[in-house]
Amino acid sequence: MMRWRTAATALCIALAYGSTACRRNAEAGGAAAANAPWFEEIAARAGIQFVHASGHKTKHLLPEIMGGGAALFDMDNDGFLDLYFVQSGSLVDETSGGNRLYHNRGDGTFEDVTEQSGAGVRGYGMGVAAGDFDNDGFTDLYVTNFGHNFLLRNDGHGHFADVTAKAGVASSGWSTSAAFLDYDGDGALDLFVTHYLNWRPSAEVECFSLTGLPDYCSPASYDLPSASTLYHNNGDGTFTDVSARAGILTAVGNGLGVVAGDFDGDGRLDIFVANDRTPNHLWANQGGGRFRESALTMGAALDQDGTAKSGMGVDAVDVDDDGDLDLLVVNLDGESDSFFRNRGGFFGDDTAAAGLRTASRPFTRFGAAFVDFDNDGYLDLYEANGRVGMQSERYATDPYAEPSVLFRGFAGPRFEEVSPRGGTRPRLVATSRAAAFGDIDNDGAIDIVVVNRDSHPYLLHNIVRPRGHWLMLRVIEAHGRDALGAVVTLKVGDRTIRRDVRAAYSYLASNDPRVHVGLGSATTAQNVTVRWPDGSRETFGDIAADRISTLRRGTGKR
Amino acid sequence: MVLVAGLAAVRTLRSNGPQPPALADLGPLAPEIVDIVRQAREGVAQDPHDAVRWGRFGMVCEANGLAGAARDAYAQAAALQNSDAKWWYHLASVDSRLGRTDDAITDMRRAIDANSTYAPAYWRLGLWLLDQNKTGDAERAFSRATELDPADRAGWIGLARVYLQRDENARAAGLLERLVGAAPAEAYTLQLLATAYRRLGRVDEASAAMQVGAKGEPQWSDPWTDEMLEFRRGYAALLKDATAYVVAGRFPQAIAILEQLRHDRPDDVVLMAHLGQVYVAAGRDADGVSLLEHVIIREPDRFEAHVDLATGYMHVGNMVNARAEAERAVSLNGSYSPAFETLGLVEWRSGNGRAAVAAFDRSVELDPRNARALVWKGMVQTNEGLAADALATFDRAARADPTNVDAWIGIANAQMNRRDLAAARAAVQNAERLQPDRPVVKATADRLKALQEHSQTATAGRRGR
Repeated sequence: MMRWRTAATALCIALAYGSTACRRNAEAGGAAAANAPWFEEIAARAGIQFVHASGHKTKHLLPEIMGGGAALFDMDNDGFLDLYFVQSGSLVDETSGGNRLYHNRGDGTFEDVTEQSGAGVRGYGMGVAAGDFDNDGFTDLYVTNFGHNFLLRNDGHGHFADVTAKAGVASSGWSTSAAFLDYDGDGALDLFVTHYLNWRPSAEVECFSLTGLPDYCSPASYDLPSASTLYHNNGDGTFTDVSARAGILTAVGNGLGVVAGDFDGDGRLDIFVANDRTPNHLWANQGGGRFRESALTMGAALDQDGTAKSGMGVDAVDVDDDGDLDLLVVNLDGESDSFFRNRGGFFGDDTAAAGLRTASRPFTRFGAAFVDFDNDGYLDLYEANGRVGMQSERYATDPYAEPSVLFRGFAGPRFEEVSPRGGTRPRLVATSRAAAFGDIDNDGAIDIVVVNRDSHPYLLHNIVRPRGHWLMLRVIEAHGRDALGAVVTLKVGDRTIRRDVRAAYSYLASNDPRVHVGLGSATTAQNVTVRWPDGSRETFGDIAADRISTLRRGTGKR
Repeated sequence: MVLVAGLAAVRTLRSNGPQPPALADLGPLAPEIVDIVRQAREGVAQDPHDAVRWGRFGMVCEANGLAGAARDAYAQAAALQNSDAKWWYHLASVDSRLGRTDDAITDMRRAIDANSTYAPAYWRLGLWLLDQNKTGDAERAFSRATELDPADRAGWIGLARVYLQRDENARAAGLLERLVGAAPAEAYTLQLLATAYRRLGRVDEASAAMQVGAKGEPQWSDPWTDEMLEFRRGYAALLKDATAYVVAGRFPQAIAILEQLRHDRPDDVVLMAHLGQVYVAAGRDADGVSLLEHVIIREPDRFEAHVDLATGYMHVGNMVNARAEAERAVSLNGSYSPAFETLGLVEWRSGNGRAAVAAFDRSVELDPRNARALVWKGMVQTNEGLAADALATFDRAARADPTNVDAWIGIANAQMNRRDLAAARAAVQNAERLQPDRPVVKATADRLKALQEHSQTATAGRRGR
């Protein structure tokens, strides 16, 4: 018996990254034990007292069911991710609510530092994007609201200044997810802001659940789609709204999720917007500051079901290791996820082949991301769930609450739901919205923060065992800013893995911008190369596993 | 004595039979739904061994959002009468809705065992198998559906999806081309065809097919499901019916429902606004204006009602009020495209062509999907003798919405005016594909035919000379 085991292990090492059969047996390589929890909910223990408030009283006003947001970002460059929550508040009382900032003490606990920070801005909050817009080495925050937005400049010493007016990025209407990206490669982060509906309280209509009770409406009940906004960073602390010039106003939709990446392989950053009940948008960067809406022709506007689904959360990762970005859009219950596999510049709907059609359909999914939680070398998938309409079958007294789901990833790619459901024991049930992903304790395992409507958030600490080796790369420009939009490639065994430096994905969330790669049984990543947003490349050689490494521009080999 | 004992035994059996859930256990329900659920429940309670009563209770529950109760009821019906495919079919459908796809497949197979001639059972089974990426089993199910009912497109569409899922793109394209030939305007077929073309590298054809295909959604209906849907009750269900009638242009039916609802809810401003809008759309402008005036007194910020009121005033020739209402809507929500569209119409009717064009342009700027505003603009340009501009505008409208018949008619007329009869013919064909029976389409086709005949006669005359 012992001898057989040894032989099996040897075979698995030989086939590293090539065999899912091995993967299941190779516990040392990181495959999690069956039925063991992957996460432990520790928000209260970690000192997080934030409670989301939707402001719902009697009338069902649509924004109440859509928020709030969260960011995991390092506010003081101490190497630990801090936490920012976007509060919804009240649609009738603008003084209510107020966002909260928590500093990571580095010992597993967080301290609420909102009061002295200036980050506790008020508004009917939605989401947040994090990025160092002024290249001073400290990550700033852009908060989206129903109403005007806030740009909060971080001085690196725990203080945030509201520079919205000077920067010219207040926007208006109903902003949802936003992303910092350097679309023109000029070294300054530009800003893309997604808008949901051209809604206002006077546009509200009455809607009812199937059981005849007053409920929130579908966005289709209004037909008030909105255009997104693109702000160009002028490099002097101000931005210019270039939406019209860039072509962004040529299409409207009910925008919720956003992710930027080079989807067509032309070296330029494109922008994908998940729309709710209108076809998705893919803004293909034409160069020269121009974008063309190309989702229909690239096959990502609708999936094989032929309907404009309720696109909410979104992620873009090279899931199949073919070097290009695949897309995930998560949708309403009754609608499956849409897994758009990139076939070299256009997408095919591979949701069924990936095993995500049937498993995703029972829930309404918002925050979502492909992350290798058990570091076995294959991306897993977490989806934070919560309904937008009441149903007679309930999971809790909150009629909108649902369990979230966790899928284990396999080669293929293929996904299977993890038991226990959502990866936690006991099972957690809430009306979940934003999910932000990052390694809060720098142990090489990605944790999750989930914002729950009218409830406490989850801080899901990754406890899955066993875990494989890992690599965490902080990819930064010469002056210290996270190089959002840069692309890292590396070799592990016979696989070439691509990961992008990105903070904006999921839903209303900003995530750990560090590149995380599960290595399974491998202890080194070979030939680590960065393609910077301006197209130049640098190689950083082989990097040892199980540590956080910094790849600073100019320190590698060109 | 024996008879009495028998009756007593039946009574005992009935009282010991499975019981429907108490109403209180079904959760909060609207009063109209409570009524129909109670009736169906009482029916079951009277004879809990009657599968049909359980089935009816299941359909009532399913139609009104009580999926869990519906599942239990169908399961009971199927257990009592397992030779009736309908209960297995409904049970499978609810299983699927509840995310129990494996159960759904098992139950649908039992439905098929009980009745192997109901084609929708096969294509629904095929769809679930396809979800599980079991393309071989799905193909067999869809094929059987097409054998049983070749006229039901669902089976054929399912087969095309199997081919696409297996990357058999040429095969999918061939099948879909045949389907498009039979129903050229069906959007979903065109979408799938576009996918097949794109994978085959036929990029331009894919783009053309997708532009039209993206404008519609697939419909998956069958008689047994329709029967269940007849049990929907409550305000929401009726409102949905009314909306469907409005979309179909059946205004009297929509108005009948909305008036009934308003009778029940006289203070409901949203309902009032909706009815007012439909009155105006139906040409009952006086009724619409009267109602909408009430709406904006009650809720002055309701910008959509101002737009509808402006339209109503315009229809009755009160251009001063129409302008005031349109401008009020614009001031309330300066990014609402229909407000500018209506303002444009007011300007046009007031003889201000240039201002009308500016308003239509703003409307389209705010919502590039608004092909209707482009069509209006093209009409203004046509009236002002700007033929080339009008053609460009109609062309843009057709690109914004290839299913907009008025855009194609505009192109056809503009091309006829330019004497480019071949281009006009292409535009008329597009319109005929979409709405062959619409009078304006027929009239335009007749005009084109007359011009072609005239052209041929003139050509022959020149030759004769």
